[in-house]
Amino acid sequence: MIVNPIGLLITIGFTSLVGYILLWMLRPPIYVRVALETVTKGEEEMQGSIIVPITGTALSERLLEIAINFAQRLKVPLRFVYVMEIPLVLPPDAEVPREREKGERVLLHAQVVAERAGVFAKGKLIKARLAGAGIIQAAKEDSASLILLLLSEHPEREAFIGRSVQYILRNAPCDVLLLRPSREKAA
Amino acid sequence: MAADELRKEEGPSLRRAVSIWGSFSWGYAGVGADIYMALGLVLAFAMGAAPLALFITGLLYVLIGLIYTELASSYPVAGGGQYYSLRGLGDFWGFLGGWAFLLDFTVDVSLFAYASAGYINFFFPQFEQVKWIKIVETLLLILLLIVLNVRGIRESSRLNEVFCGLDMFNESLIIIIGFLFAFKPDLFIHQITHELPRMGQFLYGMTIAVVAFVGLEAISQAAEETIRPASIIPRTSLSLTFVVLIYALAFSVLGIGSLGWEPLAEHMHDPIAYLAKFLPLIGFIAGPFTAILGFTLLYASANTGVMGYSRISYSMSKLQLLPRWFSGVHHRYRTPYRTILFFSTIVIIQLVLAGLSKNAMETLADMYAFGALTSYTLVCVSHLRLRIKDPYTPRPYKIPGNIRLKIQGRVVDFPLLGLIAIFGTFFYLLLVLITHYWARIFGPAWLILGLTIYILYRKKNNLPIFRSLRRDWVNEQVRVLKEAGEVEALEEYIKALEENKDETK
Repeated sequence: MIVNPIGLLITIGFTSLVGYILLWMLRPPIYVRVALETVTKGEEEMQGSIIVPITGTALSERLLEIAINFAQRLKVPLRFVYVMEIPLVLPPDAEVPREREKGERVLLHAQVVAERAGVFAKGKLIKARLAGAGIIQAAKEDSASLILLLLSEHPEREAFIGRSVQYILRNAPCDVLLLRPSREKAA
Repeated sequence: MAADELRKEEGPSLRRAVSIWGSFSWGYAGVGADIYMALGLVLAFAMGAAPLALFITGLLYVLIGLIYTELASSYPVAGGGQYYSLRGLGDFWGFLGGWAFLLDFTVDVSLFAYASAGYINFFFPQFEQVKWIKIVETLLLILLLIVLNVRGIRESSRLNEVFCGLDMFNESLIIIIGFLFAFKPDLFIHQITHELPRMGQFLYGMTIAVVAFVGLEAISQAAEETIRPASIIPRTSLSLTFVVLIYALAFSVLGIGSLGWEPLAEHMHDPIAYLAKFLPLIGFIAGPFTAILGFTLLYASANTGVMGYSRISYSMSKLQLLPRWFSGVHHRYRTPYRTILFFSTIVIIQLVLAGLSKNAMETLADMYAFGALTSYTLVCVSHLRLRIKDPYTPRPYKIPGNIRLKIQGRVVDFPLLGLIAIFGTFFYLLLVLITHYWARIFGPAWLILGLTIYILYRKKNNLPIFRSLRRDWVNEQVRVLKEAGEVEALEEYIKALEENKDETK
């Protein structure tokens, strides 16, 4: 059987064109691949994650940056946690639509930032009386390897350990890393 | 994910689970099977000029593909073309666009079920000789689809992905083996220089070639279920557009260069399987295998038609474009059984009427081309209108060839290629009306029937006929982007709205 040279040329053209198109399609930028992982991978993949409490403030943005850096080096998933604090005057399962909306927005933002950096992350909205209790709950559910916290700053520029941080330090089921933000960067 | 948790609490919503290959496969299920049915038809009319007819029509198809890519990634909702027409042109034209899609989907069912019966007849060639046997075969296939859809079946994304991969492998193998061992350059040159149709025939062939590229809707229909649609849809939709064009051109060149146009035109019912049968080395297995695959793909494509018309008419009813009766859901199976039964009856009528004509497949293809071109024309016009009316929605992909203009006080990226697409689709629509006998009669008749239903319904319910009902598109867009997890696009959209607060009030 003789191979036709013109046919061979067409075959080469056809396979390279279709191959190139399919490769281009199937090799999207890193953030798309991570976004796909986020949806396709189940909750069991979050075991051993780093817990990152976020609030949507400038300080929380800094924590997000640090957490992504950690995750890239340690190759572990990030679990962003937004705690909706339910005031004592309300029942524990009360709906707080504004808080929920804010939490959802903040979590989605964190997720997109993580995806852009190529880090696998998932978000969680938790209702609790105290932010610290919500974070501990998330750490237990994920069998987290680490809780990452950033100290807030006192008006007199001294690191300030709040009620929630103290609660976490007392009750954490895993390592807790407490960071003080760099003043230059915070500025 | 938080958004997922929220959605669970808010009620049923389409789950975002379609990945890159999944999105491509959804589109492929809609448009990939077309060549199995269209090749013989195009060859029968355009003869040796079939590759040219497919190429010229393919250029228009690429433009439409680019427009769909832009719209589906900017408005990732399940409605597809009907939604774009409604949003861009308002209720009246939105209805007309939807009604044209309904024609397309109904003909899709009769045509693809008929074509899939043709591939069954690869094994029973004697059935192909008696037209009414094939009509009865098709009728049985359609009845099975009706039963399955009324009882409720979900088209499995995974199954789509497997069939898409299998088919692409098989088609590629046929093309590669064919060009390496069966392609005769002398025969090809002879065909494209001596076996040419008359101009009228060629134009007819060009319009029939449209049916090789219908079904781009599918990716946009699945957009609401696609993960990160803004990033994924441009990739999958562009790839699909070009891959389908390459396959169509490759098959037409291989067909006339290995067997000549006549034998394939005679085997209009199973051209790809017939071509595969004559391949050296693998022909003995490739023929039957391609016939089975062809049947499966075409039948799955017919099923997307049933799903398409039930979804669109249900949604049109909810949007007060069709009577409320159409949104009835079966108490036991929870399926839109009324729309399925109503439009399936139309499918059967179409099939029987086509059976009375000289060539049922050609008649159905006529109608298919008319429906597709009417709806595509409206989608192209909507695309242009949305660029002007809604310049603030972030567009992750924009068709190339834009000039910045100030229209109605707004800075707009005016799409020159979009304008060419409008003229192109309209020109093709006119060609269809001029050259296709059945489309000239039944196409406009279908639109008149739809308009009568629309006018009577709107009048009875004291709703405006030509004016649109108030719809909150801004909040709708916010919801869509939020559910898609497209936070950056959402922030960009809100920022643009705030900057132009006075205009958007």
